Amino acid sequence: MLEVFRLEFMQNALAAGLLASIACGIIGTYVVVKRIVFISGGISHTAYGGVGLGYLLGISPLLGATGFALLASVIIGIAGLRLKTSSDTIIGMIWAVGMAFGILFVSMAPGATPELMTYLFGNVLMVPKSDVYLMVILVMVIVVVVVSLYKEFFAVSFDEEYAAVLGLPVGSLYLIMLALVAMTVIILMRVVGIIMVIALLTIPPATARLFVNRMVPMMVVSVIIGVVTTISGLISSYALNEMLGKPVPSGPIIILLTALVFILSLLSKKMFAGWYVVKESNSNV
Amino acid sequence: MSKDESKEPVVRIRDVDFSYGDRKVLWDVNLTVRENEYLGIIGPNGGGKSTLLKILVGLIKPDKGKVEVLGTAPKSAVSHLGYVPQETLSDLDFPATVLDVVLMGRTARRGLFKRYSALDREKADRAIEKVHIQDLVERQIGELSGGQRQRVYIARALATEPRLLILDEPTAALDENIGRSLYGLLDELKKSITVIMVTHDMSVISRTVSSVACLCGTVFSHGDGKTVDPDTLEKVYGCPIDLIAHGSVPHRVLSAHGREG
Repeated sequence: MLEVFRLEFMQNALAAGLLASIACGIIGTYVVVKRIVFISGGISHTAYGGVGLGYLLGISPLLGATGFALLASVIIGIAGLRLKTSSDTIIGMIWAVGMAFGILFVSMAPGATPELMTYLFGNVLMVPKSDVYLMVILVMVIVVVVVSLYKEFFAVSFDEEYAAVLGLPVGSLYLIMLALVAMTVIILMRVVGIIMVIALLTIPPATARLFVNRMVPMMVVSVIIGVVTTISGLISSYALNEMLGKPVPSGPIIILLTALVFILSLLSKKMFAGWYVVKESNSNV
Repeated sequence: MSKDESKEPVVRIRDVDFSYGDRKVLWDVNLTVRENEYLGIIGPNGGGKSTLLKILVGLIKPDKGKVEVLGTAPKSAVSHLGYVPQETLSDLDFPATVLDVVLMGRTARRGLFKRYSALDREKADRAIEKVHIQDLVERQIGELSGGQRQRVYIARALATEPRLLILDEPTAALDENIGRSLYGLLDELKKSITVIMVTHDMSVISRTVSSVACLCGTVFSHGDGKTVDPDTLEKVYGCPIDLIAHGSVPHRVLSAHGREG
């Protein structure tokens, strides 16, 4: 089994899986605690417009997606800061408009649109080296920004009003955070696809939260869960490819494995909690 | 007004107006708070108490008038300001321990990009001891009771080592015992810093504060706590009030609407 990792596409897949796990563990934690799941969904779906633009202009779809995702994060962020009402409506609009652009651009694009499905549903086995390089840069930016702004992000996530009293630039910090979400969406796109990005942003942190109650441990455990599920997902995907003789996308396999880990964690925690209560009541007797 | 005019003003509010849209909340507000004063702000709901505090901590800007905190604009005074908001944790699941939350108070002193130092930890520990929550430092913030959480927020404000401490109804979620120990703490603190507290607790007003401001859109009275006259309170609260004060017995404010048998 191990010799398959000597294949270049397998190495790329492994690198992409690891990078995606790091990004989703760190940024997913913020997405969950700051409750910006819907915003993240909006950003990721809008990115499809950029994928389409990439095909239309003959440039890298991932580059186009990066531009669209960042643009979406700025629009949603500013709308959220400026509008007194909820920004839900704006997110819904941008979400659909971005998808519409993507579908239109793809239909107008000359020639074939190879790999289109991998942007939508993700296939880590088809990540080219150039995309891995882009992912490395994005992950480095994310790590550097989060390490340098950790206490600021913490304060803003906990209580925006109090963060403002502390003199923090709450609006700018919020926009930076959304930009990091956009970058994470790009990193996850090749692994699980636009439509399922949300799952990898939410399930690992939610699972981690079951076992730890501080932010940094939550990030670390999320990353570990992500590494385990993406790697086992990509191995399963490869094995199914070989077995069935046709490509089976890794995206859905990874998501289902992650969901399975969450359910098992929840059950084991419940069972353990029950056992603990029984033990305690026994000792009282 | 038996106030020590020689002391430096910590807060100076001049002719301040503020409205939310068309609704005028504050008008012609004038208030001076001097060093080591312990000011209680009372007034009816919707009287603009929390709005005034928000102006003082720089969260909102007045439409008109001038506000100076520690000789400068509120926004520039943050590193010397401790603020205790009303109990408002919406996400009880938030992954933070008591220590994490108290350390947040050091952020104003640290500056962007810098990590907390050993000194920050020490100051946070000291603040935690002051409000007697040493046993809770490792606990997740959402697991605490409302009263315990309120003490965490006070510790967070104290961790800043403020020259001015501003509290918005700090005892609303506390039981009487803890409330009393909080007032004891504030009595201790007022020796070294200036305290402004919004409260509905009249017994506290008469027992501990050094001055009282009655706020109902504008400031009706700002004198020492022992001489708030019933007329002023009646004007502020908009209904007749009996103020019973006999020596050391706590003052009580009772509405005279109903009749007691």
